[in-house]
Amino acid sequence: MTIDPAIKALSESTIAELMAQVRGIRAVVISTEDGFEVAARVENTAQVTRLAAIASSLTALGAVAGEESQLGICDNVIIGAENGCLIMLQVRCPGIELILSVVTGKDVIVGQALYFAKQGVKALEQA
Amino acid sequence: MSTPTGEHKILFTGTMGAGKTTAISAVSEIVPISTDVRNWDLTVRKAMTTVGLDYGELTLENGEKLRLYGTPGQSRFDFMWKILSRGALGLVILIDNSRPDPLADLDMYLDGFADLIRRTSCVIGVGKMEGHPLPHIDAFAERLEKKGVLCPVFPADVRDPEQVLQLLDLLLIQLESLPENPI
Repeated sequence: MTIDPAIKALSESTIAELMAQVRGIRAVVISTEDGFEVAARVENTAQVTRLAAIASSLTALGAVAGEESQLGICDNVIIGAENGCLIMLQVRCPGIELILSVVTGKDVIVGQALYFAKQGVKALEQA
Repeated sequence: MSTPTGEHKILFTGTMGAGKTTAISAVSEIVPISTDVRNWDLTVRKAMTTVGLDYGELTLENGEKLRLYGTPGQSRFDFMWKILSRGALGLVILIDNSRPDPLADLDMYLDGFADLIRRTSCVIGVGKMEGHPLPHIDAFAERLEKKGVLCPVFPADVRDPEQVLQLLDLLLIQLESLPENPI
């Protein structure tokens, strides 16, 4: 897998910014659409590979669900769980599609995390 | 799983490039649902790869409907294997004989789908044998025997709908012969 070093560097800075903006984020992973890590910051690094693969499957299924329901292109998938949520966003950079995954604790306001994650997506897409 | 409406869920699995998406497309009577994305794994020469599932449908001559699901091939997606195995009636394992170790590939899916195989049945289709005749079909049969799995193994070109139908027929025959016929 050959990822443009500029994309990798921007991914790392986007993750750092996101974690600084929203307190209570446990993990952020930016991965390719087929589930390979590009950049990550996670408490438990063993989670990265798994999270990248899960995000790949779920966003692909979200895309199919959006199309089949005639809702158009799927931009994000949110999983709400007992102890937090998992937000996955599509990042459409020129030449490569990525997935930005954010795992939050239960005290994080989903809307706030989603807003800042979308800011991160915009920064990556405009690079 | 058989439903009151006579629908059965069949699963296709196998390595990336073994032909799961192709097999389902070859026989599906609806436009297949696919979750293919760009492949960034440079060790495999393939432009796209399935990361979620494939889905197609096929109505048999007796009016029963098969719902055909394809899994992602790579083991990093094994959580999808578990999800897709739920309620499945049987499994088709597709092997790409041009890969470095097709017998090890077979082992991976026999282990990954052991619960499903134990509950139901499976059939193995070995592809690309014309250019890559080794290992022989006998070697796959021996490996299955060693693993304690009793199921048919045949060469198959899944681009040909007839050969995919043959694999499905074999699977259904296997299932009918089970002590507790699930069909």
